[in-house]
Amino acid sequence: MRKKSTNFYYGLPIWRPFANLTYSASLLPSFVQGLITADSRKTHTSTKFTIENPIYVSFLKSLVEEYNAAINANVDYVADADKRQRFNFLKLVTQSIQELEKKQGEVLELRSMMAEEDKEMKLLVDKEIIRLKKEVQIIEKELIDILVGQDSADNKDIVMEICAGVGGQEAMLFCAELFLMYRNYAHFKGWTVTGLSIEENEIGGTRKAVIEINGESVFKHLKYEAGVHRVQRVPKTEKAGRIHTSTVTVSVLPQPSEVDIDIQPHELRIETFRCSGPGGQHVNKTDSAVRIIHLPTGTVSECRQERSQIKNKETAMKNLKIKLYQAILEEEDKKRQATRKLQIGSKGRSEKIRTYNFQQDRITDHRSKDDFSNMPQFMLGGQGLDDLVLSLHQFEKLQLLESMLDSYRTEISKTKATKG
Amino acid sequence: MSHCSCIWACKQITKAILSGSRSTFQKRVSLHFTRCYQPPRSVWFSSCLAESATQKLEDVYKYWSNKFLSHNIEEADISANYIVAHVLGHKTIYNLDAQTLLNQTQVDKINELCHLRSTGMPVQYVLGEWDFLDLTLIMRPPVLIPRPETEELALLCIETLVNDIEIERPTVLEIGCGSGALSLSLLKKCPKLQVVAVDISPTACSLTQENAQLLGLMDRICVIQGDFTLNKVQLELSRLSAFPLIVSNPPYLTTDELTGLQSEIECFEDPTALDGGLDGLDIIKEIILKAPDLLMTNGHLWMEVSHQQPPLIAKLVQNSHNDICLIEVVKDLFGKDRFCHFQKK
Repeated sequence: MRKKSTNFYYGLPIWRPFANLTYSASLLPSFVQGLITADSRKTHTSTKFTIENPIYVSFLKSLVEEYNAAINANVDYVADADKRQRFNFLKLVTQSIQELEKKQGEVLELRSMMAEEDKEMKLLVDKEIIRLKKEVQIIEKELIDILVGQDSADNKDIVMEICAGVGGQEAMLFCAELFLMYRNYAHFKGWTVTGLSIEENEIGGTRKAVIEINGESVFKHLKYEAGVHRVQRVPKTEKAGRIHTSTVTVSVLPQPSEVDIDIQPHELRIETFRCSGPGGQHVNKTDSAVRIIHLPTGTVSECRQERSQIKNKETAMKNLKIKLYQAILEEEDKKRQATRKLQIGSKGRSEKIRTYNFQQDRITDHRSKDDFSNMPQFMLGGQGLDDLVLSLHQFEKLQLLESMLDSYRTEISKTKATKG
Repeated sequence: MSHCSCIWACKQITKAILSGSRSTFQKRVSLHFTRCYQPPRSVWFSSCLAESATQKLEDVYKYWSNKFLSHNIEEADISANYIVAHVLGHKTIYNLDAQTLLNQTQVDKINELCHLRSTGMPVQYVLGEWDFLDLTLIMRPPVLIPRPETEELALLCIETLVNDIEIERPTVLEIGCGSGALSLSLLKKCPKLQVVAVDISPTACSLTQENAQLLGLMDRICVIQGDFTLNKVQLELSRLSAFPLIVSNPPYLTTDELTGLQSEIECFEDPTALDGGLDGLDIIKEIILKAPDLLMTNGHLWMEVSHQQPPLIAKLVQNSHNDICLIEVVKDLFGKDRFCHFQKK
């Protein structure tokens, strides 16, 4: 079907409704402009985050200063996890910056030698400078990774929900295609897919598919897929040949990892019918009900099914653990529901993250403003999708760094203002 | 002691007479009386069927728990609960539908057991069985009914057996096995274990054997009937083997404490299983003195005692100057010092 529609429109004038938005550089945030002109699939380097940029350098210097201050400050890093994390971060950054400075110093030294007349020598120095510059670039890239850090959820498994949105039958058809695409992508990356629930309609569309994907760095790769996907094409169901716009919503929810519940004996109050009195051989009481109260949370668990008190206690304990675990899960679930809402938005056509335009054989991601072609190959969920995911990853990194630099800039202007 | 067993025997006889005459009488009652008939309270025990209106589980249960309450039977509700559940093949009625209709045989059986309970007989004897950890054991008067604390003692012994004893096929000695609860739960948990169980009472010994047979553990238990305080018996035991673990729930009540106990205990349980002499330490002393001869080096002794006894026992061990030392006192589920752990040097 995909092939048919592209062939059908082959040679016709191409309507590009978002051409302006995609290519007019003036509408984009300033630092992305550099990205668009470059071939986005290969490199995503921007001159913004190299040692050529004075603000970036001063930002880095401020981090080194903070590190030096932190070494001298007497802070208990064992107790304060936040500060410990910040300290480790600063340490890594400083190490990387020092290496960078060393290499940069070498480059400068070599440059001063360029004055030499000897041609052979000059050639050698040139080669050396080029080698060093490459190394500098590598370290700069690493530094960006360190600065941006890692999402703690990156390694988690996910549950992916793909739902047909606006557009009726056509949306369901595209939903089925997206579902296939992600399943193939999972196979391409060597992940395992478990179908949790799939609602199909009679013409081969999918109303809603929920799948679980397990594997290495699943969330890291698929977190950018969450949101509204828009498709523009002549649907199989359309008789008059008009182009329709439909949507499919995707949500990607990281799975909570097993939480080991640690219960300390002093946190428990165990109530029985045998508490008072001398106990032992002095009494013969048969009521073996046990109630356990977890004091920090006030959770109560009871058991009275068994005639053996110890058995009742064991069961009550098990139930208590389940209850506490459930509470943690619910907490995480609430958080996930919030993210889900954030990801999907109002399901409308407006909050789209990506457009699949079959007529123009173009896939546009509205966040990185990247365009991709070769729709049939892309929809197979192989290298094409992987390239897009990679570019989004890079985009996200740079955006994060930009925001860090921005807040640094405002901070500087503030201190200047107060000084002035 | 003779006083107690006398009361117990009397009650047994009265019950036998009552239950014998009741069954025929009851049938007649159920045939001829209508629901509106309320027999006088004085004959309540023989006309319960007519009084309990319908034969719904809920009604039978409520009827008997009220009856127990009005006759000052301890734990009225839970007693009725256990009895009704037992007749229906359950442990408690919490998982049963209150609206379940009971047939005539079930109601008859419930009534019969409830009559026994209303004489003050402990629920465990009424049902003829009780649970101890994972096991269901036969309970028969006057053999001591194992208490929930003893379940913890069994768990402590199992822990010692698993963690501290490195013998391929250990043999454990239990002194005063009663119904066999301790020995049998150890055997059940440790498949390579063997047990020698001693008890002074022939009825206790035969009950232990019966329970072992019921659980299919006969081939790993040796029950010896004899008085542990006698040299002859101790010699015989020491010839059997050097034990890595001795466990005991000896009689630890003082003779004074024996009077004024719940009637369930005083009238139905064997006083020899409870009476520890003037200070309650008669048998405990004997065990502490003789244990070094029976234990192997580094062997363990676990004992359940009365909650005020551990300091006395610690002094006793110090003064006895033999090769045994008290290494820990463990509290029970209810926070009482209950279990003494000794080890041979």
